[in-house]
Parts: sequence; C-alpha cells; structure tokens
Amino acid sequence: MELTRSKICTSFFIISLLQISLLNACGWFENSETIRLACFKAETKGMKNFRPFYYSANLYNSSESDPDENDIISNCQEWQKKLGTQVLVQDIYKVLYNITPEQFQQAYEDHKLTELIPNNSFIKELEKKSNKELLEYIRFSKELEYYNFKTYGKWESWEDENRDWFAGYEVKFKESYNYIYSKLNTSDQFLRLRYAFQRIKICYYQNEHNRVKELYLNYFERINDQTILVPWAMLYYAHSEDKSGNHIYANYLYSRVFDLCESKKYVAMQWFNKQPEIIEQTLSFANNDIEKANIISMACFRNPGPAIDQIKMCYSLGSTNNYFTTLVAREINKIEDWILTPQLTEYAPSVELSDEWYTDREAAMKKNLNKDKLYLQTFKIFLISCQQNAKAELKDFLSLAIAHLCFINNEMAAGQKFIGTISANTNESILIQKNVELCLIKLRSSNILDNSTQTDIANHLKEIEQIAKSNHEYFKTLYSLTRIISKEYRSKNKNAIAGLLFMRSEIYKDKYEMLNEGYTYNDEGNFENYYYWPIAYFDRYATLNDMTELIALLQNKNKTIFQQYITTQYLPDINVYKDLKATIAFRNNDLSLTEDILKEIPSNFWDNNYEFKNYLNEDPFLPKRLSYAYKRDFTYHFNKYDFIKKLNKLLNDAEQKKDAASYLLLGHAFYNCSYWGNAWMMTCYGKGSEEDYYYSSDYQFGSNFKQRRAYQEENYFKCTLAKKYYTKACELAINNEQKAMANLMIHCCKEAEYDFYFITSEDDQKIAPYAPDNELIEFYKRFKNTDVFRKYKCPEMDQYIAKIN
Amino acid sequence: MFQKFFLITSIILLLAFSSCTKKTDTVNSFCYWKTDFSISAQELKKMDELNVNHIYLRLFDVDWNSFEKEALPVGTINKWWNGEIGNQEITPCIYITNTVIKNSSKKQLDSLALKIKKRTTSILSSFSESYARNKVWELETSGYQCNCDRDSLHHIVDSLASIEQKHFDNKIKDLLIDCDWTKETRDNYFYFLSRLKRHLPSYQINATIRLWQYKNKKIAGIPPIERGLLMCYNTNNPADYSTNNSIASLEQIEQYYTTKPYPIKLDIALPLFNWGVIYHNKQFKGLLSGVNPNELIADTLNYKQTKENMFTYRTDMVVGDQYIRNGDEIKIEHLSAGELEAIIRSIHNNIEIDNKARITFFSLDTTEINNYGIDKIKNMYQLFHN
Repeated sequence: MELTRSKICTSFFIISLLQISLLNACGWFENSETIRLACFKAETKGMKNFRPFYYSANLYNSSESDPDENDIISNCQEWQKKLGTQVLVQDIYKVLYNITPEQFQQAYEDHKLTELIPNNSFIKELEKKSNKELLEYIRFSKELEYYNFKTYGKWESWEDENRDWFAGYEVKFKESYNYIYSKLNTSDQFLRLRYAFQRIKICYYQNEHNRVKELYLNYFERINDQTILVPWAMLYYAHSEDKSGNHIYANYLYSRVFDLCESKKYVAMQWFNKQPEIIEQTLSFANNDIEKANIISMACFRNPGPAIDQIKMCYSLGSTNNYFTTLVAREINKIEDWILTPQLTEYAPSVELSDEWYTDREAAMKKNLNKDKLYLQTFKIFLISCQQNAKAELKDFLSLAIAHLCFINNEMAAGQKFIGTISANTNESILIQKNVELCLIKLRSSNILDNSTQTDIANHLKEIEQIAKSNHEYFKTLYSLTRIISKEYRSKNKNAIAGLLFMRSEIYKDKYEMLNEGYTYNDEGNFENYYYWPIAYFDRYATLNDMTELIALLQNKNKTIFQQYITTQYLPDINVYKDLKATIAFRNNDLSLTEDILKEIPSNFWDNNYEFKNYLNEDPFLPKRLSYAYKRDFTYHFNKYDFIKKLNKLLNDAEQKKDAASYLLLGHAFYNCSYWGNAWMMTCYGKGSEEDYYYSSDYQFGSNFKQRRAYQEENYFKCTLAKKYYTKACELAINNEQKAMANLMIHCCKEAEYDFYFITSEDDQKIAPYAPDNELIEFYKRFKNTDVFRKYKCPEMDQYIAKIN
Repeated sequence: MFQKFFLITSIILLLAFSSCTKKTDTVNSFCYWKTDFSISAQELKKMDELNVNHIYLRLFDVDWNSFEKEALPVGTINKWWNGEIGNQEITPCIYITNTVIKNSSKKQLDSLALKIKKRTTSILSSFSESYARNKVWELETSGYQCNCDRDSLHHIVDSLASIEQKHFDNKIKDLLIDCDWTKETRDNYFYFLSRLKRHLPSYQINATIRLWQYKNKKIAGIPPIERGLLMCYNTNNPADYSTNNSIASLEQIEQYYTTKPYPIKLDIALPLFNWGVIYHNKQFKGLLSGVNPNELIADTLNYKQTKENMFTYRTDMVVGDQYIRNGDEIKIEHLSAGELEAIIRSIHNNIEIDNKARITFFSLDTTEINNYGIDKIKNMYQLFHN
C-alpha cells in the first residue's frame, strides 16, 4: 500500500511540474528530472535553441529557447543595415532593450537623450534631422511598450498600495490607431513594416482578429526582405486564427513561427496541438516536405514514448537538420532513462508510460527491460542506416549516438568502431560526448582494477568536471557516469570504490538539481555532512574485506590519481568507518573480531558522535521486554568496546563453566541487541516504524531490510541467538529462578518472532492470533512461586494463559 | 562678604562656561531605507546598544511619469511587517524627484499632497495594526492554550490591541519630505509643502536640506517647515572619475559653512555606507553597494588593485543588473571612522543645532555597523554632546 501510494504521488508530481524536492504528506521524494540518468548530451550547431524541448521529466526542459538572443540581434542588425555600419549593434541593443520606456520618454522630452545614453552611435544617428521619423518610431514603440507592460513592476497605482496590483494591458489606443494609420502610408518600407507590426499587436489585444489577418496578409505575407518581424507578426496572426476558430491553420502557422525564429519557439510549441488527428489535418497546409517534417517533429518533441516511426517519417521527408538531431538525442535519452534509471537508482524511469509498477515491480522491470532493449536495437539499426548517408557534423553526431547505444547494450567493440569515425575537428559538444563514450567503453572493455585504467577514468571524469563548472548541465552527465562506474565496481565486489563513487554521484546529482533550479550550491553539502550519510552505502553492501580496504584507502598517504578523485569529497573521521566495520563483524556474530576493532576506537567516541548516547543508554543486560516491571534508567553509560568485551567473557565463561547465569546474561544481551531491545543500535544505525519491515523510504541508498533480516543469524528480527542462549540457560539452570527467567524470555523471543511475521505478512493474508508455546505455560504452571514470576507476570500473559485454559 | 563675592563669582563663571561649552543632548537616530520593513533582532540589539531612539523610515518615492504626465509612487515599502521594533520613534519619509516638482502644475501639486497623505496614512495604519498584533499575539496564544473563554479573550485582546495601536501612533510625530529642489522649482516645492501641512495637521512636516541649499539660502530659499534634516554627504557626483570620494570629505563639507546660522532648526544626517563606483573607460557606469574592499584585495584572480581605492576587473562578470567587462574599474568610496569623526567635529563646531536635534546615520545595516564598531559609532554620537 505504501508503494502504491508513493507511486501515485510520484506521478502527480511529474504531472504538476513540481521542480524541487519537497516534504509532503506522501513522504520525501526526489525530483524526477534530477534522478533521471543521462550521459548523452551531444549537440550539433544550432541545437541549443531546441533545448527547452530536450527529453525531460518536466513538461519542458528548463531552458530559454533563444539563449544567444539571436532574434533580438537580428532586429538590431536590421536597424544597422538601415542606418549604416557607423552605428554599432551593441549601441542599438542598449537603446532598444536596456533603456526603460520611462527613461527614454523623459530624456526625449527634455532633449537629453545623449545625456541619458552618452557616446551612443545609435542615438547620435537618430538625432540627425534626416532620421527624425526613425527616432519618432523608437519613441512611439517605447510608449507602446510602456502600456504593454503596465503591470506590477512598472508603476503602481495611487489607489492601491498593494504591490501585487495588476493593471492588465491598458490600451489608450484610439489615438494610436489614427497615428499608426498615417504612418502606414510611409514610403519607407522599413518603417512601414514596423508600424504594421505594432498595429497587429494592438489589434490582437483589442480582439480585432480579422484586422490582424488583413494586416499580416497586406504587409508581411509577400515581402521579399528577410526580416525578423515576419515570424513575430506571424505569431499574432496564428493566435488570431486560433481565436477565430481556424485551429488547423493556426497550428500550421505555429509550426512556421517555430521554424522561422528562435525566441518564439517556446510559445509556439505551447500553443501547438500535437493530437494525431490535428497533425494529419495540419500537414495538408504544408508547402513542401521540409515543412511537413517540421510539423511531425514538433508533435514528436512532446512524445515521451517510443517515437521511431515519427523520426523515420521525418528522415524520409528529407529532414536532417536540428529537428532531426534533437529527436535523435531525445530518443537516446529516453532509452537511457528506461534502461539505466531503474538499474542504477531506486526509481523507475523518470517519465512513466504505464502503471505496471503498481502491481508487480520486479516483473514489470524485467518485461520493460526486454522491450526497451529490443527498441534500442531497432533504433540503432535505423541510426546506422542514417549515418552511412550522412556527412560532416551530422555523421559525427550519429556515430556518437550509435556508440552510446552500443554501450548501453554492452557492445563495446562496435561502439569503439563508431567512436573511431568521429572527426577531430568537430564541434566541442561532440568532442566532450566522445570523451564520455571513451570513458564508458574503457569501463567495460578494460580491467577496471588496473591502475592505468583507473587513471584514465579519473582523468575523463575530471575533464568533464571542469566543463561542468561553467555549464552545470554536465553535472547530470557526471552523476550518471559515476553511477554507472560505481555499479561496475560493485559487480566486481569492490564495494569500497563503488561506495565512494556512489556518494560522488549523489553529490553531482544534488549539484545539478540546485544549479538547475537557480540556487547556488553550497560546497559544504546538504546532507553529506550527516553522520550516517557517508556510511549508508557501506552499511548496506560492504563486507568486512570491503571495510578493511576502505579504511586502508582513506588512510593511504600516497593515493593514486583515481584514489584521490574518489576520496575528494566530505568524508568523516576514520573511526566512523571503524565503528561500521565493528558493527558488520558483530552482525556476522564474530565477537572477537568485533572486540579487536572496537579496541582501536577512542573510548569517548560513542559519547560524542551520532545518536549513540541517546539510544545506547540503558543496561543491555536488562531485557527491554521486561521493562514494564522496573523503572527504566537512561543514565547508563554504554561503551561498545566494554560491552563486547563482557560478551566475549560471558561466552567464554558460559562454555567453560556451563554456567546458566552467563547464558541468561548472553540471552538478555542478544535480545537487547535485536530490533526489540534497548541496544538495537549495536546492530543497526537507524530504526523507523513501518519502514523497517517491508519497504524503505530511502530513495538514495535503497532499502536494507533484506540485509537486516539476516543480521546475526536472523537474531535482529527473530531473536534467534537470544533464544539459543536462553534455551541453553534453561537446560543448565540450577534453580527455579533461572529456569523461570529462561522460559519467560524464550516466550518473549517467540512473541517477537510472531510479531515480525505478522507485520511482514501481506495485508490480505489471514494470520492466526499469537498462541504462546510451552514456555509460557511452564512459566505459569511450574514457576508460580518464584520471584521472577511474581515480578514479571503481566495481564497480557494472563490473557494468553486464560485463552489456552 | 568674601563668601558672597565667592558665590557670585562662581555663579558667573558657571554661566560663562555653560555658554562656552555647547552642551547638547541630541537624539540618536538611524535611517531605514529598504522596501521590506524588517528590522532583525540583531539590528534591534545594535540600536539598543547605540541608544538609538529614532528612525527615519522611507515609505515610498514619487517620480514623474512622462507617459501619464503625472507624479506616481515608486517602490512603496512592503505593507507586511512583523511588528518588531524597539522604543524608537519613527519619522516616515517620502522622496520626491525634482522632476515632479518641475513638471507639476499647482493643481497637480494640490492633488499630490492629498495622495501622499492618503498613501502615507494607509501604510502607517497597516503598520500600526501589525505592531499591535505582534504585541498581543503572545497573550492570544497563551489564552488559547489555557482554554480561556474565547469571547472574553477576544475582548481583552482587542482592547489591548487598540491600546498598542495608539502606542504605535504616538511614535510618529513628524513626516520628512526628501527633495533636492532647485532655484527653478523652489516656489512649487514650497507651495507643495504648505499644502501637505494643511492635509496632515497632526504631523510636523520636515524636509531635507542639501548642503548647497544650506549655503545658498537666497537662491534655494527657506522651506516652510519646522525642522530641516541637513544631509552632510553625497557632496560630489560619483560620475566624476577624478573625485576621490563622492560620499563626503571634510574639505568639501567645509566649503558649505556660512557665518549666518540657518533660520530653521536642523537635524544632521551622516553617511554610514560604502559603495563601489564602476567606470568603463572613465565613464560612469553604475554603483554597487555593500562592497567589501578586503574581498577585492584577496581576489587577485578577478581584481587588480591599481590605487588604494581603485581596482580593475580582470574578467567579465554580471553583478546585479550590471554587466561589468574586463578592464572596467571600480572605485571604492568609504569613510573611515577617523574621517567621519573629523567631519562630525567640524559640523558640530560650525553648524548650530539644538537639544532636540537628531543625529542620524544613513543607513541601518548590520555589516556597516560591525565594520565601524559599536564603540566608534557611540563615540560619533557622543561628539555632538560635547
């Protein structure tokens, strides 16, 4: 139920575009887009304007569609062409886009434009008599800009001091109408177009959609000049057509706007209708194959599922431009998400297409993996056929894409072959991706335990890290890469390295998310500084050998390049890892090794670190289960080393002397070191409520419930060792008090086992109520006259006995 | 006989000394000039340590809108306030650009006075409520916790709240108008002030006086106000590349002294801030506030120190709204405690102030206070008492 509820919540978050991790009633979740694994990031020239449409768990990738302001620069260049090259583009830019309407208007009225913007070649030119009309246009457009944006952030209302006051688009354009009308008759085509554009805007906001169409057709439809105003005006035309009910034609126009300019791509896509039946009809307006391909591509940009058919169609229509490469990149990222995210994280793919997870996760994962691998092959074959006919940058890009698919499919030799075809002079983004592919190929085709391989891997990662400092998107690449590499080391049972790499990958993931959301990253980390976080991975997966290796690695003063790389992160004091090693030894029931390790740790370590003193603060030889009969004392000074030393002595005494009292104490100690006792922190670092039993809410490191079940020969949940010692105590007991205690505690152990069984059973399973065994019956029958009985009998036990009788 | 003589002489001498030593008991004050009214606990503590009994609180600016052809408010303080303040009295301030005065007709100035009154009272009313709410919330919370009778509790809380509101209202006795009027706008401005006085009879209307207005009384005129706040800083134009320190300097201030006292009682405003003036090819580009020169000295990757207070940028960077390029310069303008003390001594010796004079620092900022140190600032206030 917990799993189902959490998946519903995850889906809800994806749909509602929630961008950051947050706490809510369903529990803590990480942002899907952050979790998604993605190593493939290559771009061809010009692809960056398609970044909002890259594959993402969010509706749109968080990116501007015209990061280089190409459209605005085009506009400035048109002005430069009009006035001459003595006018600098940056001066035009400053006047048009960096001066507020109010500043401009005031300076204009006061004849102080040159004071407002000194040494500006554009103003200098505009102030010439011959350019009076041009200056007037600038003034007018600034005025319109003022009224266009007269909302919160501009001027406030006297009537309402509330800073969130929103005035809307106030138009006092009746006067503007006639004014523009007169200007539309000018012989200057440059000005005429601009006034027409302003008029189109006004008419659109006045809901005069027929007028918009008329203006567009008269002034923009048939002009020969290349001007950025055409797509800008076309957007309003598209909106007007949409509002007039001509949705299909509007859809076509949106595709043209999308293609003709950069800054309006995002809004054009938002309004574009990708429904298959609408796309069919939209295609009928396309004038040629490329326009058709663009329409299909736009629909495909919002398809989160397999899109090979659409991509093939685009390709067959002759599309090999940035639309095509963006679609290919999207498809590669999808395959990465479908195959790698579930394999390497605790999550399903970030963009889910079905709800199969809800029922049987393992079966769904297996089925989907087979489907996805098949799809990978199909897509790869298609890309290979495209690559054979491609040239230059496109060929390099496709070679990379194929190599990456080969890597995912473990076809290293094939991947290497395609990498070899990439030109050394290709664009930087492709070269960086090549670096990534080489790192991946090295990982699978070389001996990763070899020093030179490790050095190569570290150098690749460090190179990408340098790039990530100025382009934070590459932190996602680093996150994904280090996660893949960590898994490789884990598969070789090198958990010391795997764990350190895993932690690095989590840090990269965190950096990516923070920087992507526009926050600054605190290099001191968010959660890495907690005591448990740096040991969480090892707590789950490390063996004693792994811990020995880890400690040696951390203490090594002559680290290799690779070792330096994986240990350059926040790492706690070495005693933290020694404590974990001791705990693992304890879980393995190797008490003498546990004692040897604990001996190396300073005796006050558990007083000053973590929560030890808050959870190891009772007498471990008084079973917690019997605490109803005594006042609990939390002032006990617990020292792990002393405790284990005493256990070893008790074991020795018990075996040597066949001493029931020692066995009883051992039983108490092992009972208390179980989940049910007061010293559970000897065995485990955390204890929640439901999460212990069947599903962990630890989305970073995963559940360790399966491991915990096995701790100390299953003593942690089932008190097996405790029961063993109590049984021995019972056999060797020399008096009724000892026998009574042994019987009582065996009953408690069996009760704990039952509780564990009950809680971990499926909801619909019918579980018989607990029925105590002979021990309790004996306790009541034979040991009624003991002090133990008198002290520890309780109403619950009375009830059990009553039911039996 | 001798005793009488001795007594009379002592009295005469005492009087003589009293008149020679200008003992004044001024009011320690600070300016609060942010759009979010949120004085932190740290700032309150600092004000306590400095015995600050008064703050100037900017409510909003008024600027001319060349499209609407009227004056409009800008940057109004956020009406939300947590109600935290000490025992300080408050003087609300409104800054009006000279362009407003220049472009407004008399009718518009009448209207402006009324609008300022309305906006000011609305904001202060909101603050008054916040203040009262803050004072009574503890009582209200503990009342809920002890399950008191709700009606009685609300009645008590409401009564206490209205008492606290009155308490807040009593903190405000005057209003400050800040405007750098000119000879051309003098008449309009004085007209506006008189109109404002009529609309806000319960407040004393005061105004800022720039140093040039202080010196050139005939040209600037004397505004129809009770008290003026003499702004002893921004003595030069930061756009002037050759100016060493446009914030203030003793030499510049001394140029404004006159022999004739100013006919209106004066309060004194002094600078407690620094800024960096950015130049591109010696052309003024902008100002950066809160620059720490030690950080620039340490950051040799991005800055090269060319003079004591001048640095050259080594890389392009975006800082706030400014895109600063490699080669641009930044001049750090800042007054040391010693320089400020010298200015204070000079002002105290040359400008007459009365016992009720407020000595205010622009502006309240923990970083700046820490930079100077509590003792130094205390000493600066104290210099006016000696």
